[in-house]
Amino acid sequence: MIRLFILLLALIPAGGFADTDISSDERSRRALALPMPAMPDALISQFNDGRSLFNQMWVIAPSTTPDIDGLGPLFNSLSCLECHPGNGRGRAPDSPGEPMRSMLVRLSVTDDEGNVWPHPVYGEQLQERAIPGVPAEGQARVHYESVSVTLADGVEIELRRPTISLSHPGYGEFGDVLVSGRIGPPLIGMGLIDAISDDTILQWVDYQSSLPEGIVGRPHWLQAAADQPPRIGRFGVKAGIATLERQIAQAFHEDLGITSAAFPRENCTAGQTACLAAPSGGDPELTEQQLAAVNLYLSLLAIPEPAVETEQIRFGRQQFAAAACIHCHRPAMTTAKDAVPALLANRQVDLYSDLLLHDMGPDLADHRPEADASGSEWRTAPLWGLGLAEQVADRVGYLHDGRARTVLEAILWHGGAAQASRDAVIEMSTAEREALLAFLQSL
Amino acid sequence: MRRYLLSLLLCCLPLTAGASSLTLLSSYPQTMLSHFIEAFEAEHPDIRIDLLWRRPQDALQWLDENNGAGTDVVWLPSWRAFQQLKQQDFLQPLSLHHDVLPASLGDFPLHDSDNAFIASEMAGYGLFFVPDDLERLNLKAPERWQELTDFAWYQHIAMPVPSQVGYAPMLIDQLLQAEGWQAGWSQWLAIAANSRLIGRGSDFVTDQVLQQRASIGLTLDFFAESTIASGGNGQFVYPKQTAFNPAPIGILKRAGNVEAAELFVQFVISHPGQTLLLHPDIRKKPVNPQVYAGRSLANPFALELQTAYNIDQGLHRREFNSALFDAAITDNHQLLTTVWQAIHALPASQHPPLRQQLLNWPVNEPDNNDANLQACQQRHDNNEAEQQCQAFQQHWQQRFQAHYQQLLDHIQSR
Ligand code: HEC
Ligand code: HEC
Repeated sequence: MIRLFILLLALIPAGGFADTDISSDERSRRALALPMPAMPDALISQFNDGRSLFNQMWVIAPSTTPDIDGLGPLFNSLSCLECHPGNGRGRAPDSPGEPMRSMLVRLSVTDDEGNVWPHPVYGEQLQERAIPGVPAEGQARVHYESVSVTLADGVEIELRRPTISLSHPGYGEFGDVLVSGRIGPPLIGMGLIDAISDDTILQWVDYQSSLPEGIVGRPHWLQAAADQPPRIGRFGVKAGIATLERQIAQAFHEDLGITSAAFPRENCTAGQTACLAAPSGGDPELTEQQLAAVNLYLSLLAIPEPAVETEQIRFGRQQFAAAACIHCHRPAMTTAKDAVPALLANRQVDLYSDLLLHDMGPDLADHRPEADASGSEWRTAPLWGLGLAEQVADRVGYLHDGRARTVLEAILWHGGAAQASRDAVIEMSTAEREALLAFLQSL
Repeated sequence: MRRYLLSLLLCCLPLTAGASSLTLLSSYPQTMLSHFIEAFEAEHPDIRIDLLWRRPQDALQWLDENNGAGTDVVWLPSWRAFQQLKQQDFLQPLSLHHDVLPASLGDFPLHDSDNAFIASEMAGYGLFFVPDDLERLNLKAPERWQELTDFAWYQHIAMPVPSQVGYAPMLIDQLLQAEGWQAGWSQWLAIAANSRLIGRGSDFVTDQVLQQRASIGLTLDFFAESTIASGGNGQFVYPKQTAFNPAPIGILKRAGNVEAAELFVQFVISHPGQTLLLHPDIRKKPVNPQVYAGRSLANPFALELQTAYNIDQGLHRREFNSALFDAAITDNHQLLTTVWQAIHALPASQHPPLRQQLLNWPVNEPDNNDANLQACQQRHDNNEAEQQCQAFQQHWQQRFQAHYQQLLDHIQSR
């Protein structure tokens, strides 16, 4: 297994590995919105349809544009793009006075036995907006408390610890509710992640078990239906969804209020009568073709190639390995041979994630279990394209809830299984730390 | 677990005193609206904008059904929509200060004569290309639309179809107004014969060029300039004669929150508001000339361009022109390009008479009372009009087809 580790270091040669069929070396504002160079001509028009549906501002039904209506009754945003600007990441508000613009809040409640359920009235997600005539569910605000960390070279970093408050309940008191705030994550290589086999993910668990550091991730096994074999979740910050198609359909449903074959009913709970009575934009509102187009679009977006490797970046890559980041942020995987479209099959992808859940300690915990993941477990965030985050959008956040304003802040929040990595970064010399950050910015 | 719950649930905040909401009806894309809403709300933390998004035609229908109620501000890049709203008496005269806007750009008014709406931004027509690609192909970047009628451009142009692409009707009409009806249409026939047509659901014109499916694209400045600002390596130029299309903003007579509505409109035309237009995601042209000062930006108020354009005339015959374009070009494109190619396969001396024959425009310029013009104008509102306009289009589609075929047979029989 140690051999595998050496092999893996060899796999990320200078400048990273560039597969020019599926990646682009553009590091501009539109870097995350370009098609894969080898996209077959026959798929161009479906890709374009997907792009326009992803960027589309959806319309309240009824309308004279039935293909794009059905927004709400309850929703967070009018478009996918609002939370994933430039196909990149969103951010958290900087103060309680500012509304969430590219962030949402998940909800649940616990019963006396400690079982976790969706909120009986508000469901699994707080929808802060609604169509006219239907009350919105409420408002979520983020409050920060400042925490400071001093690095070995004397540099002091201010972190901000968030708490979320809910107000203006539209349907009665929220009661004892578990909340989890999340910013829109970047949508890089979604189809490739979809095309990684469960076995490939499991290989890494074996590898991690052989490590002295005691970093062993856990696959998030999900059982879609009793008659289907369980699959490893890989989408969402707790890897709570196994397939891209499901993830997209759920985003349409929860975030925009758009129904689809997989989510045929509007996102209203039984107590939300005005919501249930609101006009529908079609049965379902999102057609199978539209869902397939968005899926194809997100699947065939070119993945960004790392920037050209400099001496400093190479040194930083060594720090990345030395601080054990590489055990969770797995540099490379290969997609399944039988993936569709064929362009995605058997590709080496450098996502810098093992797609496994890790206990990241109490500071990062949301204390809200999701399926089989606990409140302190999170999916290792893929780091590909990290250096483009501030290129593609004006203001961005890091970590699941956007609390980190910089990559360094994100590292300093690592705890639990990653505590030793964080401590190693604190102890680094200025040159080592700057090199590590330069390496991360080169991705 | 309980302990966390308590600490997580700070108690309900009361409604901020004086907090109000402003309903904005718009058809702008997310990127543009995000910037404006965020900046406005930051400046006015006590006002929250509720966005009602609808395409212009749908927005009009919705306002019609709601008798002009249910929204405060309307902001649509469609002069036509605002003329209709004004006609329906849905807009209230603006009492805010809008003297930062000049009276007009060229002879295009930036204020409605009765003060019912004002311009908020504008966009101009031009050409997008990658200079290196043109050089490699030995093509010179054109200074006038007419240069694109040269057969050297065959299959190199990406051209939007006016019945399918919202910004194309004015592109077509500005040339007709500048060159005259017959000459303008002849030029469009030749340009179209050189072009790939871009319809609904196609790639963007800019993508066609960047991905080398075309070498030059007919488009609006902001499509090209935001692509360039985002990393695309092209260039955009205005031909010497072109047109700018101002987008209006207005306040509804039945607005519930007039005060906030005025603040929003004022913000949009203010210096900070107009500066947002320069963001790489947007790249619309400010209507407030102060914003150009000290910036290396093509300034439509100062460019030495001919931009004369009669918007009323353009709007009147918009659907009529689009129907004719489809009859002559979209529905016969294969045949048109075949004849075009056949002509240019002959020795050069034979081109002029054949080109002239092909490009001769047989339809007369309509006046405003023309029955077919009226029918086409109302085609989206009423069935009878739609049928008449369709019949008109079909008649000409057949005439053009016969004409092209005849010419092709003539060439082939030589
Ligand atoms: C209100 C903000 C918001 C909107 C609107 C939104 N998303 Fe998301 N998106 C998120 C958040 C937050 C997550 C992480 C969700 C989680 O952890 O469960 C996410 C996750 C995703 C993922 C998985 C990313 C990953 O790394 O696993 C995809 C794919 C996605 N969204 C697509 C879409 C699409 C398609 C739409 C439009 C239908 C959309 N999103 C609209 C906020 C949003
Ligand atoms: C035990 C596994 C583990 C180790 C070791 C680890 N990380 Fe992480 N990392 C994670 C997880 C899980 C997340 C997501 C946490 C969240 O969203 O709250 C994450 C998130 C990040 C992020 C934020 C990414 C984003 O998109 O917002 C960065 C940057 C990062 N890690 C860098 C590092 C670096 C550098 C190291 C080594 C010093 C490191 N990590 C070590 C598991 C790990």
